[in-house]
Amino acid sequence: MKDNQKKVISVTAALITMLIGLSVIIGWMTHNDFLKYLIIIPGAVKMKFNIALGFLFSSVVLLLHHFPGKTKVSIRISRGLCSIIFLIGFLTIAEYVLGVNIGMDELFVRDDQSTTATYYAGRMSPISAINFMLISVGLLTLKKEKTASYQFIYLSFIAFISIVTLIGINFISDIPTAIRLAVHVSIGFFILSVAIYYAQPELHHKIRFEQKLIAGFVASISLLTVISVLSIFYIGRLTDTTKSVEHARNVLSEAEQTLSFVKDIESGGRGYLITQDSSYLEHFMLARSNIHTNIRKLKELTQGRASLETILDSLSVYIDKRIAFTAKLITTRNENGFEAAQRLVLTKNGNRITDKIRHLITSIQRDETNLLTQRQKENAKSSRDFNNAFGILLVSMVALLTIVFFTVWINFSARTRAEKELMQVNRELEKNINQVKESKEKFSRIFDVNPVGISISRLPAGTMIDVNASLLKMYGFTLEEVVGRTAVELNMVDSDVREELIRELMQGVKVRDREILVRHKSGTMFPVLFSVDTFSMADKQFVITFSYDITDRKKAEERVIQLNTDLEANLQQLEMANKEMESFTYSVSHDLRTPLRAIDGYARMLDEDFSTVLDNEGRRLLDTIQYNAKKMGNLIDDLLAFSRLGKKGLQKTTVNTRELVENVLYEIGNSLSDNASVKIGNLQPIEADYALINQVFVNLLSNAAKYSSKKECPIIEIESKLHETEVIYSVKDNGAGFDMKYADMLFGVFQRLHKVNEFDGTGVGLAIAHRIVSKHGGRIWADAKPGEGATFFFSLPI
Amino acid sequence: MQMENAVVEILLVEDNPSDAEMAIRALRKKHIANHIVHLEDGAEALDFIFCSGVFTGRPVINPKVILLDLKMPKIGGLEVLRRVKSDERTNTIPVVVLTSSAEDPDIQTCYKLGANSYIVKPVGFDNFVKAVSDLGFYWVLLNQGPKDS
Repeated sequence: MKDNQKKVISVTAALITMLIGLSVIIGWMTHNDFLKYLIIIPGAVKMKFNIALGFLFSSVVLLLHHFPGKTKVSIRISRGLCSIIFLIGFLTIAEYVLGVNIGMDELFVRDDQSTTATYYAGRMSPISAINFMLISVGLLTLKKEKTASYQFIYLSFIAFISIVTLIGINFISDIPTAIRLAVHVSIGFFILSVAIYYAQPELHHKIRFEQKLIAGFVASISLLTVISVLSIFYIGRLTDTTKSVEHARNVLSEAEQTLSFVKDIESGGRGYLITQDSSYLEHFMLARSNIHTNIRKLKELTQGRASLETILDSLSVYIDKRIAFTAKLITTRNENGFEAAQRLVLTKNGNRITDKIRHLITSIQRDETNLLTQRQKENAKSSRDFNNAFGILLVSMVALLTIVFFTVWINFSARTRAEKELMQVNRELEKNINQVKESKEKFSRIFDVNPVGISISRLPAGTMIDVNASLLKMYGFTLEEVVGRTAVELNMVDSDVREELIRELMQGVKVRDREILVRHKSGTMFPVLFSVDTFSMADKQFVITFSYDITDRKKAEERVIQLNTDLEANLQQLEMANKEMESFTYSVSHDLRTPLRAIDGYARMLDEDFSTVLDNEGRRLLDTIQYNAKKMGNLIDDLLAFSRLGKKGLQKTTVNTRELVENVLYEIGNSLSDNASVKIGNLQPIEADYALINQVFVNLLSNAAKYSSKKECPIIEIESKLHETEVIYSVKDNGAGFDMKYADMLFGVFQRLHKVNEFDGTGVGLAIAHRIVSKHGGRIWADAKPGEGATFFFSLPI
Repeated sequence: MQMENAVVEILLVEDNPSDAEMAIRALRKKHIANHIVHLEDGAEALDFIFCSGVFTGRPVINPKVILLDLKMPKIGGLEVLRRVKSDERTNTIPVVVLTSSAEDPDIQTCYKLGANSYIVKPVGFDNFVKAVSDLGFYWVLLNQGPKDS
């Protein structure tokens, strides 16, 4: 049930109680019996005015609790009303205990219609009084956590008692006054207890199983008490009725005895008259001496019954008369003889007296028999009532114990189940703990053996709570010196550095691998890579820092920087040298060529203008001058081309080598002899600088053409082979070849293996080819035999 | 040197007398130019072109072409080129740079400054004569200059 629903129940119950109380109060005020009794049940009692008042006040307190309005005022009113309710109960109990009447029972109305069963007019039953005391306490301690469990117990008690009394009213006709409540009083108390219980649903979880059990036992004990009280009451009554039956029987037997004595007196006298045998006189004498004892006994037994007393008195008188008559008869027999006695008998005076006595005893016997019958009936009824009450209470007891048993049983099985679950949970927990232990161990190992110095500190103060060995070693402290102190206190880091870091952290900047300077215990500063992060645990903020000592790295870096600086200086020198070289080659190209041109030009002018003056030898000398000047020009041009190669970057494109070779062959076509045969094999395309590769082929092919030109059938073969990482090109000729022991000199600048008058050339072509191939990351080499030809290979990477 | 009022067809600025002589000989032999003025450094050339210094009073008539050597004492060929091409009066004169150098930066600079042609003097005399006479033929006889010159 939800808390709100419980509150609705409480309010409803309070309103019903209020209605009951109000209607009864109006009933008393207007002398309306219907309203007073409210529920008409034969033998029911009416609700007392004070009870109605108590119901009304209790319901008002409950409603104020639910709808407080002005809290302070409500509380004051509630407390006042509770005190009044308590006082009503308490004073009533006091009246009962002390046996006094302080007049509070009829304080408001007179109870002139009080039933005979009620001892005091207008006074409520002690059960009601106790109920009201408990209810006032319950209302005062509404929503008090500490008393919630006790409240549950006595509210259960009130509810239970209400049910018991209700049953008592309905099923047990002859109930003792003390526990006799009006039907609507019982109902009212039950509803009120429910109303109070549900007025505070917030506290229901406070009621533990034990308290429910106690409530059950309190109810059981009260039930047992009721059973005991009823037993005593009913057994007492049963004993009383049994006694009175016995009493009546005694009376009857005594009366019979009396009659018998009277008969003895009469028959004794008569016997003696006829026989004059003295043994008859003995009967008479015995009866005469005992009969009055009988009468006395009867008188004792029937003491207090006025009618019987009169009868017994007259019986006594007639018995005396009868004794006197018999005595006279005996005397007459003895003195006057039989006839005189006979005459006396014939007067019938004795018979009349006897008849009178018989009549009297019969009337006593009839009276007593009636009484006996009535008492026997009463006795039977008492046992029946006793059986009824006992039966009902026993059934209630059994029901109650069953409820208690099931409550215990359910709780017990729930506990057993819970225990099992708990054990399961415990096992899992243990497993978890082991895992946690394991991972904790792992992490503490990571923490301990980490080469990075780690510290964990509390925020905002920054007091360190744990640091690892690396950190201690790094800063030169011991664990005891560090824990509980801050890095600034220990002078590990300057406060401005820390503040800056904290400020960045607060702004959400991630501090990672920040290079900061920190201080060793000895005071020397050293650089660390510093990372920091915050995390929270159990609502507390922590900061974890990682310092990585980079002193060595810094030194290495400094070395690298120094080396770089040196290198740069070297590079600058180199560049300067390069520039110088450039300006040198510029000068060479510019200044060396000019005089050469003049030498050639003036030799030509001499030849043109003075050819008639010069003889053949003169002309030959001029030719030699011109030839050497031109050759010098070619040397300079080749040298410049060679030096220019170093400066140019590579501009790679996909080179169709076959097409390139065909073009080159076309270009150098006139240096090939007519009967030369050129074979172009498979030529792989390659990624390279077109112009430079073109130059390589120009040089190699013109060499091949040149050195094979003196053969009758020069053959030049060009092909390529694709390898894993490179392509190898080869240019083969069947020309002059060379001795392989000079192979090393082939690719040097101005290196020549042949005389100038054999094969013309500057000795730069292969050096240029070598330089170009090297620049592409390839190799160049040759294979040759003197007189048989040479093969030049060069490789280019794919 | 002909300093008359006649039109100067070629202004040759060349500090090397051998080159200058060979060039003039080549041009004469091919009958390309009647009026060639040869000056030996940049300063003289600028005086001539802008009619200043020793050439003050020279009639203001621009030559048909300037053959300009780059490497010269006092004021180099590049400076002469820059001054000629940045002056409104003279920037229409075709300038052919004659030099021994085939170096890239010079060629680039010359074209940027507005040179109309760049010729590397061949080492061989035959080639040199051919080159000089060809350019003379082109600039003096074939090329049509601006109308006002």
